[in-house]
Amino acid sequence: MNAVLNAVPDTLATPLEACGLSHAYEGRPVLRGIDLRLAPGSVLGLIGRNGAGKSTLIRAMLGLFQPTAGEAFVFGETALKLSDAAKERIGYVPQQPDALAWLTAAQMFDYLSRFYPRWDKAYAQRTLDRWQIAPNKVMAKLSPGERQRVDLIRALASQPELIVLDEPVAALDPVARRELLREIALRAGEQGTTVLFSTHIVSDLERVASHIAFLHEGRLLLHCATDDTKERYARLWLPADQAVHAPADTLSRHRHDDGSVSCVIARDANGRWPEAAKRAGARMDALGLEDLFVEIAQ
Amino acid sequence: MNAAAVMLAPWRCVHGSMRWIMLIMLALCSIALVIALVAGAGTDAHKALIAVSAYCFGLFYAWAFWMPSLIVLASDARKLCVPGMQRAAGTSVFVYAGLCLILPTALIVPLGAAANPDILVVGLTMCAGLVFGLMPRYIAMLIGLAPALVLAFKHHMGTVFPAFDDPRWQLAGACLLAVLIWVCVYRWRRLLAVDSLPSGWNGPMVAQLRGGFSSANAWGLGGWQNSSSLPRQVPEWAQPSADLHGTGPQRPALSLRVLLGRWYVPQTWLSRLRQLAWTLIVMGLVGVAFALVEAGHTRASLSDMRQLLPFVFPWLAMSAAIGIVAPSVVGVFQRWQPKSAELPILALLPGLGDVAHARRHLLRAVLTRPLAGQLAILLVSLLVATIWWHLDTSGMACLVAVLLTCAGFGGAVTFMILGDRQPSSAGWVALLIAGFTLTCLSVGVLMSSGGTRPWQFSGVIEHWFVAALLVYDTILLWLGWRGWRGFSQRPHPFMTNGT
Repeated sequence: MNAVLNAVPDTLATPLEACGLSHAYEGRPVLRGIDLRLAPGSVLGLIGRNGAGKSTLIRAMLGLFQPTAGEAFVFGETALKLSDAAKERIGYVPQQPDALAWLTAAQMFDYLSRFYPRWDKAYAQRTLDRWQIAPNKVMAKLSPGERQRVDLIRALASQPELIVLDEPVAALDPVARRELLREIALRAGEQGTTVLFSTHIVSDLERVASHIAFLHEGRLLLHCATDDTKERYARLWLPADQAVHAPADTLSRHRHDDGSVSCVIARDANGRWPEAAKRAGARMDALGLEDLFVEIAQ
Repeated sequence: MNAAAVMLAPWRCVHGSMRWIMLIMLALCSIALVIALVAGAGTDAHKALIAVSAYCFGLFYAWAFWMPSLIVLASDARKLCVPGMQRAAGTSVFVYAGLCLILPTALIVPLGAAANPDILVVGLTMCAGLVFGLMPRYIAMLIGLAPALVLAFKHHMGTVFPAFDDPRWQLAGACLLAVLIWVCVYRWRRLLAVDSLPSGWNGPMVAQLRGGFSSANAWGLGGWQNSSSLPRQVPEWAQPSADLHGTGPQRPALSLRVLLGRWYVPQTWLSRLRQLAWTLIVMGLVGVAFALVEAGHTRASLSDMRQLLPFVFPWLAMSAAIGIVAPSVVGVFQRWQPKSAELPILALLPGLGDVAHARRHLLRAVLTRPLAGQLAILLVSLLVATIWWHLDTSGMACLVAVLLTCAGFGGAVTFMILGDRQPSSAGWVALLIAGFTLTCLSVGVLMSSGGTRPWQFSGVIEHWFVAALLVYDTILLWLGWRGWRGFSQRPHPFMTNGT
C-alpha cells in the first residue's frame, strides 16, 4: 500500500480521457462509442438534454461502474483501477448531494481531511461561514441547496487537479451559482485545474467553459472550443425546390410543412461551408450557443 | 364534487401494490367465510358469528391501511387547491362507512345474528382501523401490544369491560365507539390543519405507506433504499453521533465504517447508550408482550421468570440475531444501490490502497461487527439454554441452527450484494419468506417444548426443522459463494450494482 501511496503522480498525463465508451441499461443504449479528451487546464462544459447520458458518461469516465465497451483513463491510469495518488487529485460532486447524511458538515470535512494530504481547512471553514451553513447540524437536516454547497466545498477543499461536477448548480441560488462559476474560472485560470461539468444552463457554459461537448442520445455530437461555435456552426435553410441538395452529414435536420429544410451545418477541415450553402435561395443564420443547443436537441 | 368522485376517491389515493394486497385480503376473507359457512358445523347464529368475525378481520385491514389514505388525498388536495377533492375525500369516508355497515346487516343478519351488537362490532372495527391509520407511528407501535394485553388480562376483563354476552356490552361498546369516532375526527382535522403530512415517527401511520410499499417514505424495502430518508425522519437529539477518533488512512476498516452509514458508523459512548436504550425498549416491549400472553394463558406470576424463560428466550435470541442481520444487510444494500451518493466517495477515496487491499478492508468493515455480534448471541444463548433452561439436545440443535441461519443469511446476502449477484425480486421474496418462516416456526417449536404444558411432539419436530434449516443454509452457502466470486471479479469493490 505504501508503494502505491508514495507513487509519483504523472503530472503531464491527460487528466481525463474516454476511449470508445459504450453502455446500455437493460438493453437501451445510453452511451454509444464516446471518445473525449480533456486537456490539462481546460474547462469542459458537458451539455445535453435530460437522459442524454451526461451523468453516465461522467461516472464511466471516473470508473464508478464498468461500461459495456471502451475504457476511461484518469491521469493516465485506468479509471477502474485508480491508485491513491490519482484519487488524491480528483474532486467529484455527484448530481444528488445526499452523501453522508448522518454526519455534520464539520465532521465530514474533519473525516475527509485525513485522507487528502492537500486539504485546505481554512478554505472549507471560510466558505462554510460565507455561505452561512451550520457546521454542526446533521446534513440530513440541511436543505438541498445547503447540501449541494457542502458537497461543492468538499470537492474543492481537497485542492484537486481535476474537478468533475455533475450538474453542480441545480439546487443553487443565482448568487451561489455565480460564486461557484467564479471559483471554477479562478482555479482553472490560476492553478491550471482541469474542470468537467455538466449543466442545462447554457449561459453558465458561455461564462466559464473553454470547451463544450454536446451529448445527444448517447452520442457526442459536438466537441470544440466555446469561442469557435459561432464561427464553426450555422443554420442552413433551403427552400423546397433545393431541399434535395441538403447535405447528408449534418448535426440536425428538420423538414418543414412547406417542404423547406433547415439543418445545422459545420465548416469542414479547411474552414469551408458545405456546397449546399451556395445554392439559390439558401439562407444561413449564425447560431448562439443556446440556439445551437436547441436546434440540435429538438 | 359528484357521486363518482366520492366513490372513486379511495381507489385513486392508494398505490397499486396496496390495491393488490387488499384484493388478496378480500379473497382470503371470502375463502374463510365460505369454508366457515359451507363446511362448518353449528347453528345459523354460530355461523353468523364466524361470518362477522371474518368480515371484521378484512374490514380492520381495509380501514387501517386503505381508507386512511383518504387523509393523504384530502391533505394534498388542500395544498394544491384542487376544487372539491378535499370534500370528496371526507364524504367518501362516511359513504364507505355506511356501506360497510349496511352490507353485514343485509347479508349476515338473515342468518340469525342479532343486528345491533353486530353492527356495533363492525362500527368499532372500522373506527379502530381508522384510528390505527391516523395515529402517530409511535402510538401505533404500542397499539400492537393491545392483543397481548387483552390475552394477558382476559380473566379480569369482565370487571373492566363487559363481555359480548353481557347485557351491558352494548352500552359500553357504544361509549367506546363514540370515543373512537371523536379520536378519528380530531386526528383528521388536526392532520388537515398542518401544511403537509409529517413523516417519520411523528407522522401518521398512513404517511409511511404513501406511494406504496416501495416508496422512499415506506417502511418497506423502498424506504431502505434511500440512505438519507431515515436520518431525515429522526429528530436531531436522537441522531447517532459519529466518533471519528482514530479514523484515517492508518485504520482503513474503521474509516470505511463511517462511509457505510448508520449501523456501521463508529459512535460515541453516549450515542451508543442512547441507541442501546431504544433497542432494549423495543425488545423489552416484545418480551413483555410474550410474557403477558403466557401469564394470561397460564395465570402464572410474571415474577416466575424461569417458567416464562422457554417462552420468551428463543424469541429474544432470534430477535437479537435478526436485529443484527437486518441493519447490517440493509446498510450494505443501501450503499451499493445505483443512486447511492456514498459509493462514489468510497470509490474515489484515497488511502485505501490498491484494489486487493481495498477489498480486504471492506470485508473487515462489513463483516467483523455483525459476525462478532452473532457469535456473542450464540454464546449467551448456549449459556442460558444450558444453565437456566436445561434444554435437551434436539432443542439445543434447533436453537443453534436458528442462530446460524440468521448469521449465514447476513453473510450470504452481504456477499450477494457486494458481488452484484443478487437474485430476482421473486428470488428475494422466496429467500426471505423461506428463511423467516423456517426460523419463526423453529422458534415456535422451541417455545412449545418448554413452559407448563410442553408439546409432546416438539422433540421430533425440532429434528425436522434442524434438517430443513440445514438445507436452507446450504442454499445460502451456495448463494454466498456466487456472491464472493462476483465480488472478487469486480475491477474494484465500490462499483454500483445494477449498472
